[in-house]
Amino acid sequence: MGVADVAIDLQDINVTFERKGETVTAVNDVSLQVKKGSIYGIIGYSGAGKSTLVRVINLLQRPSSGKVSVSGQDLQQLTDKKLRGVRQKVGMIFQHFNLLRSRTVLNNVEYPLLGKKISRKDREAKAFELLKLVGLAEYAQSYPEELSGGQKQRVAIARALASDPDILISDEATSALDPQTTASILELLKKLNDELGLTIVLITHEMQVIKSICQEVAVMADGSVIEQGLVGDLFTAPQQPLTKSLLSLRLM
Amino acid sequence: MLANWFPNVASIWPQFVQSTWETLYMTFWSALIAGVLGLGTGIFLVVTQPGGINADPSFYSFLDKVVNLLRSVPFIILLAVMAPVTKYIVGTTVGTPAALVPLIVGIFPFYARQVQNALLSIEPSVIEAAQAMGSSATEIIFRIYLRECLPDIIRVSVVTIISLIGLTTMAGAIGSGGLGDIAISVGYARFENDVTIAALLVILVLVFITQIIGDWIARKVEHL
Ligand SMILES: Nc1ncnc2c1ncn2[C@@H]1O[C@H](COP(=O)(O)OP(=O)(O)OP(=O)(O)O)[C@@H](O)[C@H]1O
Ligand SMILES: [Mg+2]
Repeated sequence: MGVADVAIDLQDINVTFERKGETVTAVNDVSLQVKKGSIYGIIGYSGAGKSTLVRVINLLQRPSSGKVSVSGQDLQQLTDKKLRGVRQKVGMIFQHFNLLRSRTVLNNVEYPLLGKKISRKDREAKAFELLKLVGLAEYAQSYPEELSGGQKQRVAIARALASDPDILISDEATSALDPQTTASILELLKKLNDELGLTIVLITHEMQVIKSICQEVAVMADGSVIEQGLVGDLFTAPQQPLTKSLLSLRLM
Repeated sequence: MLANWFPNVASIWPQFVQSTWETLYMTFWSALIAGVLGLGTGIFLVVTQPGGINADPSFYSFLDKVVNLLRSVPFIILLAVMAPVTKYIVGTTVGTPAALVPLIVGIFPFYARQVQNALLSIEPSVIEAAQAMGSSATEIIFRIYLRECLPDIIRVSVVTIISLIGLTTMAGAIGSGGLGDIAISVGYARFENDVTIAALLVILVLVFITQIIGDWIARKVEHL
């Protein structure tokens, strides 16, 4: 795999927290590469360190040690201002959507473009196009409270796309949604991956989600990646007991 | 009618009107200045707290202690304690402008705390989402904190202004002028009860108007 094909390169990442004088290791010596244009899944039980690990990707969480590069840039060397520029190219969506309740759906999608060199008219037009893309054009003037969970997540996706990111990180974006809505959101992510070539990193605790759209997967437990590889291989020949147990959950 | 029900008010009418203006003057200017100070302090408290968008634990703990300290000084004592400071800033310790100094010092920590609480009602994950979108600390303050919390900020501002109207009457104790002063120095001292009651009525009306305007604005900015 050439350097140019790597969207995200994490090397020997450790993250520790001090809590009441004790050191908690949230991420333990993790290395992984995400190929440009691929969908990479991270799976594991609650507390495994998944969120902490993906927050390292845009340095929302600075690692205690290790090296983070995104699109060939060594993030730890960047100034705050440059780092914010990189963050704009890494969209992020969350379990609880995190929309702004005081703004309309359209204004929410416009948010990442505020303060950019773009006229108000163009900004609104762009936000509106994105709402069309996620199938919510008719809700442009609504407020987030007026939407269902699945609709809110679509708005969040549209908002994440507003700054033309190369990478999208999804932290349990479907965990609060029912199976049908989950399927439709995953379908949308797949479409964005196909049509825009968006690299996607997707956290979940459901194997079904991994199986339906990911090409590669890392299984996390206690801060470590205990198994990683192609999704097909993992499903046919899981190596670790934990992986097997995550796989069997799918059958229940 | 005024002469029948409020004979003593009628006889000092120009002075009564003047007192009403003084109360409005003290309330307006101290609300304005303490508002800016309190809003700024509230924002600093939220931004610098541990885990805040510009965390600075030692500054936070200093500011937090100052606010607590100022809030625990009873206002009537603050009036006395502030006198030298007032003298230094205003040049005199009596009169309406002089009262502004203790009023501002008395009310801004109260407002700062309430602003802080209003801003803390935002989910930390919303702030994190903004950081993930590349927003700077300043952008987060203006585009997220102040904007999302505007209805709450208006509500706590109303509560603060109403408390402030109460404090202006107490400032009468140091000869600030205003309705509190006239209620004590005329109504109480000369046993002219109607003056006291008239002053009370005007204050009630001021409080009532503040509440109505505040509620109206809060509802205006709250889209639902
Ligand atoms: N800011 C923090 N301070 C202290 N400990 C933390 C902090 N953030 C995370 N941790 C700890 O790090 C560990 C990993 O947390 P993390 O949120 O990354 O897990 P997760 O795999 O995302 O779990 P979930 O599936 O519940 O979201 C946990 O033990 C958590 O308590
Ligand atoms: Mg998590």
